[in-house]
Amino acid sequence: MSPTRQPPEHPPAAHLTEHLFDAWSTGQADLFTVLGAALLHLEECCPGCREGLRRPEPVDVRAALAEGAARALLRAEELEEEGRRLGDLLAELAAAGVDPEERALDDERLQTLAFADHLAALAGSLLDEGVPEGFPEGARPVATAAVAHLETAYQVLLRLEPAWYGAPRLRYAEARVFLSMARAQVARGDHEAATETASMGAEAWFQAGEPETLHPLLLLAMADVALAIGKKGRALRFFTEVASHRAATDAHRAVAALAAARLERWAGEPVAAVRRLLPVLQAEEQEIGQGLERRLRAELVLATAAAGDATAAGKALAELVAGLDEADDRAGGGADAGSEGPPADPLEAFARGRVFLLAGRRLAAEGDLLEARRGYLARGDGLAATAAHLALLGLRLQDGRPDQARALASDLGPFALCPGMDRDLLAGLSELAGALWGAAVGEPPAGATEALAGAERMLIGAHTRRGLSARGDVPT
Amino acid sequence: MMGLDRHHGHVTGAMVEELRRGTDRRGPAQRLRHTLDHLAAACPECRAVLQVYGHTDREPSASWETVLGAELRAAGGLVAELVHLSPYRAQGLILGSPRFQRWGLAMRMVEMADREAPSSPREAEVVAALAVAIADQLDEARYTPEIVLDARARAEALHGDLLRRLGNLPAAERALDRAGSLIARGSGGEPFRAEVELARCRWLVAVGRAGEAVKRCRWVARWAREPDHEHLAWGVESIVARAELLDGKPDRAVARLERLVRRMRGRDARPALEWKARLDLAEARCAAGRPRGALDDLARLRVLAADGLPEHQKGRLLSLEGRALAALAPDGRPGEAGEALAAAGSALQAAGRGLEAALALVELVGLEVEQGRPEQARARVEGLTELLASPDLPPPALAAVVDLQAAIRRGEAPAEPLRRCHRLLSGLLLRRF
Repeated sequence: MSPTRQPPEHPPAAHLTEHLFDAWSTGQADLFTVLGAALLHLEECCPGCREGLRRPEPVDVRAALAEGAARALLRAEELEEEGRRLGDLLAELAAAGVDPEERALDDERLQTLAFADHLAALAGSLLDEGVPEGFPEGARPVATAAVAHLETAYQVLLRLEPAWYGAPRLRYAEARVFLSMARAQVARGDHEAATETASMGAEAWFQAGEPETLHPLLLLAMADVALAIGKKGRALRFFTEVASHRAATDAHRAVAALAAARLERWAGEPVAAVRRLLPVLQAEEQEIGQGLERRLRAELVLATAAAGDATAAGKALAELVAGLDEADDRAGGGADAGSEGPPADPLEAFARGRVFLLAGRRLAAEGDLLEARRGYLARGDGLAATAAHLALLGLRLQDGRPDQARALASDLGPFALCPGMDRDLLAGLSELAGALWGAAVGEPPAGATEALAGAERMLIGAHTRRGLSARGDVPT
Repeated sequence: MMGLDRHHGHVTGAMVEELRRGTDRRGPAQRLRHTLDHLAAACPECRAVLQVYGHTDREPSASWETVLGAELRAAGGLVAELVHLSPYRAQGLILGSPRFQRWGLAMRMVEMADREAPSSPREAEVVAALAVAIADQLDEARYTPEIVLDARARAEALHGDLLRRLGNLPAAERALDRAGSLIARGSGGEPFRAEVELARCRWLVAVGRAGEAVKRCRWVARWAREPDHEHLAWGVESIVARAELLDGKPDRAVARLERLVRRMRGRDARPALEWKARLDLAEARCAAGRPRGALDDLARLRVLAADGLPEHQKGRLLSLEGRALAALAPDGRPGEAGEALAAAGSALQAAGRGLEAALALVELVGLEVEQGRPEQARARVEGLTELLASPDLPPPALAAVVDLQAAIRRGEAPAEPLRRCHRLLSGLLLRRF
């Protein structure tokens, strides 16, 4: 018979505190931690419990509960089953015409980690893909839609029991939600909130044990926050790191390469931008969406044009148009493909305008740029329309047509009505118009070139303030 | 195998062993519940904490009134904890911590948002959103379903009203719909129903359905005659007067607001309401072409605000003063009017009230055009560019300003573009009250 074990010596167990319950409520402590604290305190303050904990033999409460907590985490099968049940439930709700997100907080069947993950994935694909084709109101509503998914996901996560899933697993899910949320908030222009959310995401990420697969998301969020506060060099480093990270998905790599290429082109390094884009576009069997591929191709046109390589720009443009035609055919719009009518896609029109400018075909360039301006304004994408607007003003001023430039410069009403139009940029455009109108009729306005360059810098500033990882068309 | 002691609920080593092996059929969550309940019996200090978090069924020893009183007293500290957090952190805490799921706290947040609404509507909206989150978490078993539904309705109605003031009319509508549905299932208390209804009426005015608002106001007016509810009657009058102004009947609005101000005079309970009614009266008198009366109102408002006014209120008074001075018979006092409007524009712009600033400056441009100072007017119109960066200007106002600039730059006769811009800005402002 083994000698009688004595109860282990513990430091005096304190009363339960509000701090402990808050930590439990927010997932920073698990159910076993609270249970352990309660048992140890009972051992001290209740003679009956002290006696009970020695029956049938003395136990080490701390060690036993630590082991119990570890067991509770081993629920892989149950979680898999949860995922399967969610699939069935979503199908059932869809058949009944019910929006699961609206029901999420009332229907306990939806309060699962699987559903929170599902929402986070929906938001993630929106953010990686940017603006879907033909989305009517530019990038901002996409970010808003992503935020809506993520807010519901967060609310669901708050309702989950850490003891069931394990606190690290929930912290991981929270980190994913926060980091995507930060990207969406930057895209919406909520810089202050984004900074806070990204730091919460990073905190959750560390608490979850720094899971490798989240790393690219953390880098994208940090890059966007860095851009929002004007740290372009730091952002470029983050984007570069994503592109080479082994846990990054194809979409993450493509998003990061596109953002980095834009930064390089704006910094006057278009050749570096081309070098960054080509490997992504040439890689085979990539899983990236059509919208993202289209933007990569358009960026290649702009970068090669900025580098002054008319041949490469023409080739890149042909590939962009071919890709669009193919997509059009798939969408059932093949009858119009190759017709002489105006292009339906303003990004294509803008890219073609840039190539025509490089080739000296100024009239054709003007037509395409006008089309791009009109197309983006119709979509409500004020930032993208500004790029075409400024390119047109530059063209008309260079061609010695200041009166036509003036007339266009003041036509800002449609820009004002674009949802989420950058207010500072609008003020800058109005100032530019004022400067152009400052000269006498028929006279080239003094300082117009500088004013135009200033407005272009403001446009780039407006883009970077909203991050680049979750953006739609960014022509410039 | 036994877990808790059969007779006294003491914990045992066997129970701990089952938890270690993961074989406890009751599950760790239920085991915790029993353990905490036993701890609440064994330790008075822990019991206090556990009661706050709802982790024990043991009734508090104090009476219901004492508990609610304690909740209201404790709310001050909880408010301070919440308002320093980001909205996400605060929402997380509210959802996760029963300490914050208290009726007293929800009501404190509603009061705070209501108090801050006139001077800082953006900050007030954040507080109101937290009040909604708290009210949503109230336990019906603890407070009764009626009390919870009333609290949720009040929080939603205030939040909706603030969203309306900030120009987010679709979100305001959704919040007011929720408030309406909650109050219909609540205690049936007419003061609460009236508050919700008045918020709905203000929203109707904001979306251009003033006639409908007036009809719905009649229901509130019918029983708001009780002496205790006269603030609701004042709310009705204020909405009807605004509808009359929007309907181009400023004389009726003046008569109504004069009666309202007479009724309010001498009541100290709600000085902010009296101040607002007098300001509305001054505005209505300007619209009705009675500038002398408006100037008297403004003088009285300055006396009432002996303790000093925030910058945006100063700007608002200056703006009305400029408008009234410009309209004085026979030819106005354009010099003084111009000074007042310019000062109003600066004060309102500095206070972040872009829409009101734009209206004051457009009126100033009109004055300069009338005085035959086209160069000054043109420079002033170019100066409006600064206001375009203001988040307070809704897109139609931005478009009106840039269209005015374009027309003046093109050399169009200024009267018509100015009139168009003025009409749009003043219409937007009239709906924002």
